[in-house]
Amino acid sequence: MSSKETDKSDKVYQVENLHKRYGTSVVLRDVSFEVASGAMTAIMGPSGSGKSTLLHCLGGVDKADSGSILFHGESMMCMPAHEIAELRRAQIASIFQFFYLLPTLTVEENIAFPLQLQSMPGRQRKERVATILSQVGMEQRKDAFPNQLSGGEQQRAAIARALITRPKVILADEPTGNLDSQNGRRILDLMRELLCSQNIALLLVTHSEEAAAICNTTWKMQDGNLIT
Amino acid sequence: MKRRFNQRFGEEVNTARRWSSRVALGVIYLLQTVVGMQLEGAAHAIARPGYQFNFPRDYGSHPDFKIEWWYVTGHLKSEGDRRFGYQATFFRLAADSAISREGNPPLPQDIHLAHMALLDLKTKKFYHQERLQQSPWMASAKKGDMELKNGNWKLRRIADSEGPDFELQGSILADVNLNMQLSASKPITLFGNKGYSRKGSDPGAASYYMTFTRLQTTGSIRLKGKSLKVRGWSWMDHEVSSSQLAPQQVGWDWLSIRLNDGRDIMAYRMRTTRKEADPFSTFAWVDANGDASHQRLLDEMWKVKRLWTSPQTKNTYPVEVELNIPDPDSDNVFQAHIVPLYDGQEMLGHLSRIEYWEGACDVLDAKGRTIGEAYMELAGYGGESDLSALKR
Amino acid sequence: MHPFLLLLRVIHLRHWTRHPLTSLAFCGIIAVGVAAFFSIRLANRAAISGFTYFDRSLGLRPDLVLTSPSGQFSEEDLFSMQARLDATPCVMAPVLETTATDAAQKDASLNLQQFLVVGLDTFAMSNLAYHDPDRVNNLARQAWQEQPRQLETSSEAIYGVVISEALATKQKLDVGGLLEVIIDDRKTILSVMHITRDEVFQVSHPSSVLFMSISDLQRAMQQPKLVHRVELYFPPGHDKKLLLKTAGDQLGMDPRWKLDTAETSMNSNASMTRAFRLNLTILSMLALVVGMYLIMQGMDAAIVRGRMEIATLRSLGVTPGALKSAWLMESLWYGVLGSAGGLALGWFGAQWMVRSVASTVNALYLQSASESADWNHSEAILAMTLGCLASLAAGWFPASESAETQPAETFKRGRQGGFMTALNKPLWGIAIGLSGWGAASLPPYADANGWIPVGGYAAALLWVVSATLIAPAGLRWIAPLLRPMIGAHAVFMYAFSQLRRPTGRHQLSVAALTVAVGMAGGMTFMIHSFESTMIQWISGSLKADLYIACQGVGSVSSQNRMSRKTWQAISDHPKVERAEVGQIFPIEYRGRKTYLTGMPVRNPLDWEYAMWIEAPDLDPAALEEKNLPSAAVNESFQTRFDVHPGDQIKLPTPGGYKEVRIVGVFAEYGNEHGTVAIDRHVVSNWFQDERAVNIALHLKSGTDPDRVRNEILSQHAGISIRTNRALRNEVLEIFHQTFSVTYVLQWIAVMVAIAGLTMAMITSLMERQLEFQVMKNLGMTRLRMAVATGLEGLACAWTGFGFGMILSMCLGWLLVSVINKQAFGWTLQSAIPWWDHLRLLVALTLATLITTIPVGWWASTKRMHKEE
Repeated sequence: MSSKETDKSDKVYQVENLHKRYGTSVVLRDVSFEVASGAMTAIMGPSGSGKSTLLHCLGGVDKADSGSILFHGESMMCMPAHEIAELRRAQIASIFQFFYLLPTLTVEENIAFPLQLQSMPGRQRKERVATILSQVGMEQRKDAFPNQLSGGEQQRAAIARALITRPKVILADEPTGNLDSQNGRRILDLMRELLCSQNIALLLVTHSEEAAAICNTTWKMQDGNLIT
Repeated sequence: MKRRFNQRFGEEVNTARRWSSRVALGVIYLLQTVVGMQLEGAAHAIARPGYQFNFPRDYGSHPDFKIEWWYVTGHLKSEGDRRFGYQATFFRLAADSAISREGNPPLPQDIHLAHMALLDLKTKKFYHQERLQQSPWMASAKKGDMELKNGNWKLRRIADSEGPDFELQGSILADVNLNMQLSASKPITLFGNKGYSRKGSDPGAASYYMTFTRLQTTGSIRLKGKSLKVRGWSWMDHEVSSSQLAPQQVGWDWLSIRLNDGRDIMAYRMRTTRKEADPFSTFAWVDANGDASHQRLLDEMWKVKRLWTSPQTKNTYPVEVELNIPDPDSDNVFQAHIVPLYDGQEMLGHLSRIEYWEGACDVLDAKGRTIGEAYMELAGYGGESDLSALKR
Repeated sequence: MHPFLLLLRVIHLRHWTRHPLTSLAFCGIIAVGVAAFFSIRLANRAAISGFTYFDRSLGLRPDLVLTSPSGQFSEEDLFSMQARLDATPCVMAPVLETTATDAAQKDASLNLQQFLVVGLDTFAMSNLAYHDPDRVNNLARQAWQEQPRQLETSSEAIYGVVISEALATKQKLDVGGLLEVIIDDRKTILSVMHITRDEVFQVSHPSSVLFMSISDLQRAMQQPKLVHRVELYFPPGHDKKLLLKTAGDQLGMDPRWKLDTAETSMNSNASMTRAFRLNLTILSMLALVVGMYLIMQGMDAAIVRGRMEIATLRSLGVTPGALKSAWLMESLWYGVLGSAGGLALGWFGAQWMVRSVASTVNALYLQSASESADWNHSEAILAMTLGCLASLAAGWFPASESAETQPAETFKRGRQGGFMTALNKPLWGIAIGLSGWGAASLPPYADANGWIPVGGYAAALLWVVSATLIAPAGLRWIAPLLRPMIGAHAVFMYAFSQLRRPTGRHQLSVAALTVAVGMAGGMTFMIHSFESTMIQWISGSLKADLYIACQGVGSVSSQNRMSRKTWQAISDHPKVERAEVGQIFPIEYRGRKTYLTGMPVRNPLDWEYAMWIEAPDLDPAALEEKNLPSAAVNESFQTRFDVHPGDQIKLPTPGGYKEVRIVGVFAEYGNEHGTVAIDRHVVSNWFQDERAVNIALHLKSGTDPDRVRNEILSQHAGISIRTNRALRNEVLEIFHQTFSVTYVLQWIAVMVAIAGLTMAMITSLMERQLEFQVMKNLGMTRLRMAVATGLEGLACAWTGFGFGMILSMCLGWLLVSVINKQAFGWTLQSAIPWWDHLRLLVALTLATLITTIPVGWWASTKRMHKEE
């Protein structure tokens, strides 16, 4: 079943009949949905239901066997690799359960990395990094390396890295899964605050009701089926 | 190139002798093959009648002649009557006569062959060795006196008081060491016609032949690390020649006898292709003054009593013989039964491949009593040497 | 099950099966190192085994050997020897040796293959039939069984020769066949008298040996009394030992000769080439040493991968000892398997190398005709042991660190595990480096065979260790320098950020490259310095228009000589302005081999083309007054024997010892045993030998050298003539040939290091796959990821190169000023091989990029691990 909201230009994603199989097991069964700009949607479901796979397909790091994914009206299924990479550089950001900060870069460098990929001039880059560091409260820790940070600090750095490019959508896969409840709440609050203020769509995969609560919409996934 | 010498012994029974020089046949055979030479004698002096012997000059080498040898044999006893028999032979071949291969330069040095043997009767062990040398620092034969050398084997005259004294030094591998002093107790015997010994009708077929039949011998033998003082009697031949062998001669049997009564006998039987004694076969009695009287040795005078076959060479030798010859001091026939001390006294020439039997023997009378000692040589009984191995 | 065995099964065996390529790579690294070492060792053996000293007789080994310090005996000496021996029975066999060139060979190069011709006293040798009649079977007698065919039309003398089956097959000769050779400068016809089984010769290359009777050889050489040595054979029997002792007492302590056992004589060839072979052996270990770093790095990576397992095992109670033993066992397995593969590879490698090594030995030391290398068990065991030890040593530190680290710390280290704290000791490195300077100033170890620069080798080892400890730490110093670039682009940021916290793999790769580049660069420094010196020496000393020698002469060991008749005729050519005749005689001075040469001038002061290290400055009148011949010595002689201008020394000649006065020291690089140069006329007189080893012609102005050359060649068949240019080129060619093996070993070491770097990148990237996925998520293209990997590799490579260059300068100085000087006695002028270093840098850069960029591309194509 699909859910159509306003017209296409406001839609970040338009997914129709997405189908994906790994070997003999079907991971995504004719998944269809739309995500509007600024919409915050949680996707919940048991392990193995296909949530992460769906996010990978939406992020362009994995390819579905059939169906279509339109990102702002443009089909990602036929898009060449460098264009998808460009999407990921500028418009699609990801946040992961295990943070995945680059361990040899400092916090500041990790956050600046996507801007360097865009070849943003140094001064402009520095300004933007400084701003986002302040927004996530990591100014004091900007020169630390990831293994010197706590889990919460790492995730805040990861959020900053995700937001630095001002993407259209953030794909978050269990962002609080590796945090204690207190840190988890802080991260969720931060995410809601920053995303809402910048009208960034969010697709949040989670097991946590508390995490899903920051979203406007919650979808369920079961055995590859998305129930919106 | 294996030529045989044409040799004829003189018809006079008082001559002859020369080929009792044992392995001379084989030596010449060896040496002519070694150097591929033609021993025609054209380039060398030949023995002539009327030669004036002069000693000590004629003890020494005669380089003008092609071949000469000094041949010593003897019976020895150590304390406890342990018996030994020994042989030491020094040959010299003049190399400047060698016309080797055409186009090749001739050999520069004389060639020296030597044999040394020792029989230890107690252990029944027969030690023997052969040497072949060409280098002047290894072997030499001095002119003008007897001073012979072949490696550490030496024979030389050391004194001349009542008669000449000689010193013999030898060894056999690293088992035997010999040091002997030989003192002549009889004057030198000149065989043939005052030392001129005819071989055949050809005037050149002759040699000078000198012998000490009775040399008192003292010295020591070192045998496998143990030194023994020994004494006994030795016999020394010295012959000088440039002559050739006869084609019909196949071998010889030679005997030197020292009788307890002071007399000495030399008997020589040259065998022909017809298995008969060559007319030049002869025997001679040597008296106390060293004078020799020759007679022809007939077949019936020499009877073979026992044969022995060598387990190594498979040659068969008549090691036990009976000699029946006229006794000049009586009208009777002198009978001597020659019995070897040990059968296995065969010389195996690893170099020359000359195989012959040369052994110490006892001399018994008709009643089996020991009347003297002898050395017998039996040559030409097989193993004709393939001497091409020693050609250059 | 015992914990140790459990560990082997659960971890290590699984490691091998899950990562077979990695395991194979480790084995391959050890195999390459062992192969390089083993092949050099086999090639060395083959090169010197061609003509072992005592075995040049037909079938039996002499008990004692007499050699003369003057290199030859007179007839009087032989009489004296025999007189001394007196009642001691022995076979005294004089031996004469020379070299001969196959007249059929068309190649006129300097390094032509020659026969070794051995002249034996066949009469004396035939007496050996009594020494061992069953075995020997009187080979000497057999050898002369056949008479040669008469050559009907030739007026030349024909000499009989005994050859091997190998030569008979090679040249299709039968008994009676003819072999034309050039002995000295004359064509000589040899007729095959006998063909003997190869094993009778008891040499490695029976096809290069000819036996003649000594008298024939003396006649062929026109040296009727020449004897080089005398072999003594004592008869078997009860008293043999006593005879040997007696003979030793009888012959000992006579200045006219030296008495050796056969074993001592046999070792003379080995000792002559010891310095050269030792250098090659040490160099051959370079690849193994570099390989150790790679193994260490690989083991470190494996331990990092298994850190979770290790932590779990520790928490379950497995002792550190058991863990360490299990890792070491894995190391040992790599060593065993790799070494086995290395032996096979090394044997094949030796077949290729042996010609090169043999050519060098042939040119510089002694006749070597080796064309193949034989398997040798003791060398194989040595190589295998070294390979296993190297592998064990390489696994030691990673194994120790893994076993001793607490589980919690293991978790915390994360990807930075395997930091190789053992290498992170720059202060130790500096201290060790300083101690190396102390070692370099130590004097050499001197023995009967020469000098071994033990201090120099120790210093080299210490500096290599020092570099190993400093260079990895230096990675951290490089990172700040790259900081400006880090901010420039994400590709640079990611690439160079890896160096800020280098892993064990980075450290070891840099260490391996430092060592490889350092040692290879050091060798290049030395070779370049040597070449520069040689070129200068050649330019200064080769001034004649034409150089004439006997055909095939190109080595110090060649014994072909020109007769006086020949060189006089050449000197009398109307277009010749001046002729310089050269002579050389090998002698022994103070128990060591050296050379006495005949100078073309009477007085060293008049020696126009000598390059003086210490020029003669003595008053000629004073020299005349002393009535001693003047001598000039080369540097090697001066260093070896510690002599100086003004010293008077006594030299052995056939006629006794002769005193000379040293007036100067000149540069000469033909051999490391030393040269004493004296007026040729004096030397000829001493040795009663006017034959020349060469003659240099200065032609009249305006003369065409090629025309004169052709005229002379038309009149003299057995010689070869080179123009000045041709000789210079050939000398340099031989020079480069002598280092051909060195060049190969250098490149093997560098390639092993690059392979190590590639492997480090592979293992590192395998661990960083998630990072690559992250970067992919962040929008980084594959190409950029690949370039980032390439830059990371390049940073390591250049760091290794930089430190390696410093090491190479130090090692180069050490090789030129210490090791070479002490071992060979030569002074070389240092010359930095800038172009070679630049070429190495370019090659290293290209190789790094070629290997690491594809690795990065490959890593970037890996799929992300599923989280579920």
